[in-house]
Amino acid sequence: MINEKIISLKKMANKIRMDTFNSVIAASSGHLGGSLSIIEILTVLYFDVMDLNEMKNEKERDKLVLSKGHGVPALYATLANKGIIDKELLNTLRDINSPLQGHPDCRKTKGLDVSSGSLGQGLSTGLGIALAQKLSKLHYRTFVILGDGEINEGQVWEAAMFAAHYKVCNLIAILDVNKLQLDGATNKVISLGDISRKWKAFGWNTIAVDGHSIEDLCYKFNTIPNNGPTIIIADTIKGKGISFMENNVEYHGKIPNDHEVLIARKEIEEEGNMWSI
Amino acid sequence: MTVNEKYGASLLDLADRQNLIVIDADISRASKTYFFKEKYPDRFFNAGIAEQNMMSIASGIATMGYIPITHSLAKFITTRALDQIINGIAYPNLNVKMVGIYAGLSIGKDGATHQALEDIAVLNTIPNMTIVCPGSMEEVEELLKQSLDVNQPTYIRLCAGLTPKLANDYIKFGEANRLTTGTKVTVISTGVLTDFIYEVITENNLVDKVELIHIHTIKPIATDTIVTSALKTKNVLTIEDHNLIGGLGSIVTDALSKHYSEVQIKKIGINDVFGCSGSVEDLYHKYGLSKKHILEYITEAIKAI
Ligand SMILES: Cc1ncc(C[n+]2csc(CCOP(=O)(O)OP(=O)(O)O)c2C)c(N)n1
Ligand SMILES: [Mg+2]
Repeated sequence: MINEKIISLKKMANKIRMDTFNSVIAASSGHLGGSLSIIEILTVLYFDVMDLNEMKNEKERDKLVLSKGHGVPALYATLANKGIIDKELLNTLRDINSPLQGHPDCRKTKGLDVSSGSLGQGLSTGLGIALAQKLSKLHYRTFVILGDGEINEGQVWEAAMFAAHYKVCNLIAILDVNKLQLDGATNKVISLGDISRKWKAFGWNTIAVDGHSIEDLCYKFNTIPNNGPTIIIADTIKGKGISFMENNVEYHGKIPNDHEVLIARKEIEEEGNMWSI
Repeated sequence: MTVNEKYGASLLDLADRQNLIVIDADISRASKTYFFKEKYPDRFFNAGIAEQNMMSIASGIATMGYIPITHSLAKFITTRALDQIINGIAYPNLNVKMVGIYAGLSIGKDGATHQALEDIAVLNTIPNMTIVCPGSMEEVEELLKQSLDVNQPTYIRLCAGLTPKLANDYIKFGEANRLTTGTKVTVISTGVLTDFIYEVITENNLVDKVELIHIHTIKPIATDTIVTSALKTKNVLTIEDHNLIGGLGSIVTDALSKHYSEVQIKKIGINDVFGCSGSVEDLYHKYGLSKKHILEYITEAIKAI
């Protein structure tokens, strides 16, 4: 049964998808594929899961580390729809002097907890934020979004070991398994093997989720155990929502041409119409 | 043809050298090493997004007499894998080539996290390291070839947007390339800025006044050429797309250290700040490297003497 909350989240995801797309088109530069694969994840995080209660001490809201920093157009669109940054800014993405940098700059954009862009560091950063939570006894959780190619970086596994060793349970990683990295399919570049078993062997709880299903995401984010670090392994599609971009490695960083832009907008619009009755 | 396409084609042309091994870190579609991969899959490895692992693998391969050529963005191949470069490659003085693409502000809109503005400074302090920064596509091809015979580690810093050829096609590893021979000021530059500065000089009829020295080999630097020119003009202006601290300007200043009393030196570059997103044109404007700025620097330097 689809309830009202789910429908409104689906509408929101659709808006965020359109805003993400439009901002990258306006910049004529940016990473669409890896932005479109995390739209539902960000929507559910920001509009259902994360506690951003701004009435509280700013330090006490939940934190998000977008470790795969190149996916930031999706995060900017989410922050804009959440009212944290001005929606007009989305059109200035990547422009000289815009606060919306090509990769997240937490000193320039409100709502960003950390800067990122150099892959492989964010799980460690999130770990630090989570340790600070334990030390300070403030109440917040830390979410980290990782790319599946990104976990090639050895540092990710250094962080994984540390988190399990110290049983850091307020740290939740989300792995965007869109099966592509820059050069091609993840399993053609560097085989990831059984991802879930790897994380389990490193001492993490693992939860599998359909990364484009609002229902599944809402449900699974509610089942996070409290006995150590957890990774939510999200099955996703790179370029999700735009037929010719889906599962197409070309659109990791390529900008569609004018004709393709029209098709893409139409497809996103049609998807949105399904939820607007 | 883009710089990276030229690079990929040049690499392919060298494939006859059987001891050449190509390693990339998940940017082969950008670095165009996939040209090589498609023809010689047995001598190509993709390390994935794991620059440190790539670099140490290269160090191991090199101990057996192969010449590994490693690839990533200039930003990540240098500082991300720095200890692997210092302790694993430079210390044992292994013949490993490190190719960094989209150096300096030339990567544009990706912003500060991707703009290598410290790579020259950092690598210059490492013993045994050599550094080249081509100023044209022709130099990309030629310096790649020549560097293979430099039996030491080499960092090849590739900027985007290089011109096909410079006005002077004298390309020899370790030597400078003089493009104009004026008498009032010595302008020293590297990489993509050289041709840009050359255009400013020719467009403004400054050829008689400016001696433009292009430094494609930053380490070892052509001290003699620099000193000779500086003693001629008594007036040196360095311009670079890199942090002023430790960059070409600092290296040139070191080369001139015995002659401080005789030569006026002015350094232009990124003034110890991070870059940001923006088109390359906007970035050059913001950081004082536009043609208008460069003309001003040159005119002022000429007046000052
Ligand atoms: C340390 C580092 N190396 C290389 C890059 C260049 N780069 C940007 S995105 C990318 C591929 C990322 O693949 P993945 O993590 O799977 O992200 P997604 O598929 O979600 O785009 C690469 C190699 C980088 N940003 N950082
Ligand atoms: Mg991926």
